[in-house]
Amino acid sequence: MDLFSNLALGFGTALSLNNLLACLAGVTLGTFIGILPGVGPLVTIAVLLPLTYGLPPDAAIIMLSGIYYGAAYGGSTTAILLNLPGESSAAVTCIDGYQMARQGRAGPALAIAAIGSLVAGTIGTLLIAVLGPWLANLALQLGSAEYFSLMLMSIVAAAALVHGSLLKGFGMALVGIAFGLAGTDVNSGIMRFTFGVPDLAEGIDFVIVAMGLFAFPEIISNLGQTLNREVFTSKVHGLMPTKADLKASWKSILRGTGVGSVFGILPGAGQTVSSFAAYMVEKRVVRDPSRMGKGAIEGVAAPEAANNAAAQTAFIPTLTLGIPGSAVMALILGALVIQGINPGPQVMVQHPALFWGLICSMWIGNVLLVALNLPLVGLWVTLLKVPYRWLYPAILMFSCIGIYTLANSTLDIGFAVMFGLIGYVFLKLRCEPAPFILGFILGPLMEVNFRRTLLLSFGDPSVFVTRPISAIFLTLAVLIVISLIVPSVRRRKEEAVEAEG
Amino acid sequence: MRLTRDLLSGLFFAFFGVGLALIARQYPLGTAAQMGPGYFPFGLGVAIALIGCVLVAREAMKPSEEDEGIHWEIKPLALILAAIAAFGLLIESAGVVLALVVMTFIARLCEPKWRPLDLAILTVVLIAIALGVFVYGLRIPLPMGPF
Repeated sequence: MDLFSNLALGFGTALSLNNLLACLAGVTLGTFIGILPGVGPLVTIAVLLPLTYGLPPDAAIIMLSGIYYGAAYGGSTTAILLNLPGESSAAVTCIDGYQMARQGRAGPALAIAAIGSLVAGTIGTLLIAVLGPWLANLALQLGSAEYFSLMLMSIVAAAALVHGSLLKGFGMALVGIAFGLAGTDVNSGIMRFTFGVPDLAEGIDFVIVAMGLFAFPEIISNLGQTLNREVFTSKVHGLMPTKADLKASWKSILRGTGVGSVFGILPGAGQTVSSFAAYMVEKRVVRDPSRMGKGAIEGVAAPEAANNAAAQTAFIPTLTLGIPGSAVMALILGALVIQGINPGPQVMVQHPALFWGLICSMWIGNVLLVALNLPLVGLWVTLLKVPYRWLYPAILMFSCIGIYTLANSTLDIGFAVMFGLIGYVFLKLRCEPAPFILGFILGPLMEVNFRRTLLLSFGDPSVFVTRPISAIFLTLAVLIVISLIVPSVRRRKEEAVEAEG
Repeated sequence: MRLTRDLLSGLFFAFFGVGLALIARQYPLGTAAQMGPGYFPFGLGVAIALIGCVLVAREAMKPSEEDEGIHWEIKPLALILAAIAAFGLLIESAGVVLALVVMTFIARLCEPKWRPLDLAILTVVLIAIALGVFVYGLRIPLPMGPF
């Protein structure tokens, strides 16, 4: 069967020494980032992107992905032990996980979180392996109208699922698109929005935008408040969960995996929403729901499985369609493009080793993470004591040198300062940067597809709704908008997004 | 009228959108069927400006409730941006080592407690990591200045 030969190719690639090291580096760094509050996977990936340009493409992508799903594991460790989600998607795990820790059951909680994540990761990897090729085939039937509508839907979904009004989020996405358009117009060859600066011919480098909008404002804002990280270590005994624990959680793990896989594929929704949704499902479905919130193991198993499944399946639309569902995926997509890989239906045909190698390394990474997180828990918790006054100069160092090495240009650093300022203002005005970066990366593509559609239809815009698949995407976008007007949906969304802090 | 976050955001969108549309009009617009470079950005600018106006109007009629006012952290903002700018200015003229020294120094001015030994060790470690990772590990040449 095709699947087996593909997986064989994948494991062959993933198990090469270079890629194994990249995987280990990625998941270890991811766990570390996941544990530390104040530094998230998005910022880390943005800062490390310039470093990965020197690496071969498979190693680079494997490492970046490892950081992404590794952070989910690390975040749950501190959520359970310290009621401190190191990663926003672990916020829900705090609820029951910390209660279990206070009841002296931190060990089983951590174990079930890791086991649940491993199961979810395995199923998620299989889903990518099965759905990926199928979706890529489907994607070949997508024309420019469908691509445009799909991208528009992604942007609407991303704008809907952030803090604040949909209008503001959508505005940010459009502003992002505008910034993305700066540079040489592919169609006519003239330079747009470059204001006479020749370095902008290729457009603004998205790494600079990412660092300016995510990394720098976070540092500035963190320095403005006193970071309170009192660390009291509770001893962790007995990692082994009891048979009763396993029996109680296996269904939650499967349910969580289901919820997470679905949310992961949807653009806009991310790990945080998945874990929150999985928790809500458990509350409805579990026997004796009053136990939830007081240390029920289902409250740990389901969200952890969900956020890991979502992390894996988020790669599906990114790799097969070239449409990133979230800001992190947008960065990873950008990294792929820089490496010369154009994600889309062709990527499986043109770069099978990279595609299948990445999938297999995700599974290997999950296994490594279980090994890393369980026995080494004590080590990770002591790392929490790293003072921020050492961390932020380090982040600045990596960022600055990284930006400089992009094009050996000090002008780029100037742009970074500019985006840092803009990003800080956005942060203060609570204008969300995630839709911005999605718009920034998708914008030029959206224009190309929009132009091509209208060219082929002789200027007739109705083609967006008369072509069925395009109409479906647009309808979904409208449904998302309408659903947010319903107060109960809006309240639920605010709750889920609030958990992100 | 209270300057809520949404009001200020709306004003930003309105001005940005209008500016975008005005600049876009300088490029040939073309028609829907044969779009010029200015068509899409013009439409975009109009859309952004509209969103801005709606936001401003909404805020004017019913200002949103905010848990706290906007708290601008001017000192960290100025220092961190200055640190990055200093790095940019110095890296080619003075080399990466000196650029990092100055950058770390300025960045650490944000810290309330003056810890010279801490700062010195941190700077040395950062320089070591920087050279180790970039110059030796990834073989990316960096301007070394007088070193």
